[in-house]
Amino acid sequence: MNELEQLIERVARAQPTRRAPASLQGRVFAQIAAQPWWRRGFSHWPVPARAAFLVASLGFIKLALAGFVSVVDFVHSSDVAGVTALHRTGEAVSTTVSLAEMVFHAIPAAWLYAGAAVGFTLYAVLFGLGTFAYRTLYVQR
Amino acid sequence: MENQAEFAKFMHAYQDMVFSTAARLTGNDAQAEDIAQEVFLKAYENFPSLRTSPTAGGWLKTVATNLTLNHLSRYRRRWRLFSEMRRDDEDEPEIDFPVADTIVADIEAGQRHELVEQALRALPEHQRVPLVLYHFEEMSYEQIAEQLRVSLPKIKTDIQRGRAAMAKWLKKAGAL
Repeated sequence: MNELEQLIERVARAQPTRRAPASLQGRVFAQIAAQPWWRRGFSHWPVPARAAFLVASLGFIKLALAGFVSVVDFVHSSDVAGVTALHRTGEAVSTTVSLAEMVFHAIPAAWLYAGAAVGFTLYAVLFGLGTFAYRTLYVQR
Repeated sequence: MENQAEFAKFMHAYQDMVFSTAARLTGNDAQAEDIAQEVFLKAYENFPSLRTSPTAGGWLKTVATNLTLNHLSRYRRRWRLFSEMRRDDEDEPEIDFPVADTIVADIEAGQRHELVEQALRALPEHQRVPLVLYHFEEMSYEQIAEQLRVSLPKIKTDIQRGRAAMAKWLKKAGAL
């Protein structure tokens, strides 16, 4: 460390933290109050909105599963020449889905809700981590 | 309401630190206040986890630094260009530096602190930013070079020139 570096280091060390303007806190709270709820973090959403979001998410999952099962049924029931391989694949998928359905019905409802909650939480955490990593490692540079 | 009161307390604890970081990096109090506001809006979004986190201060400092550098990044290209330019009179700072113990003996502390802030503001951005990151934010040369995407030798040169310019300014102002 040369003499000049030492000098500036001493000056920096002796320098106190600057006082934030008195208006800062008021500005932040005004901005928070002006934000619509959907632009805030999920934890700040009103409870009914959070509940509706969860119900809608579950609805979408159910819809997606129903759509998938319909496609499988369609493939299974169609009798088109030259699509044996497709039928076989359809049967395999159908069997798998039936098995999954049986397992699904065998699982107590509370477990399913807990599983859905865990899945949702993991999704939220991964989404948050992804956003954080993107903002930290890419955007901030 | 309770949440807001808690957040106000949280802000009160950290707002000077956040503002200082932004103000020293930008050299502009109005911009620093805008950045500090943005930092605390992000903190509010994350308040459920930050309120009990022992690393909340570090989180705020990192966000303040990154947002400030983002804010400055629109000038980054120009800054790089100026950083590349060499002026003969900047290469060798011809200043007599005082020995450490004699720093600003004659003026009062408050006045000295204000002069140091003024000296920082007087530095060109390509010198002020790396200098503040090194001496005030305690980042290494390597971290600064990576963060600013500037080569390591250039960062060292900019910081050295910044130190020389700052010392010269302080000496002229009677603070050294």
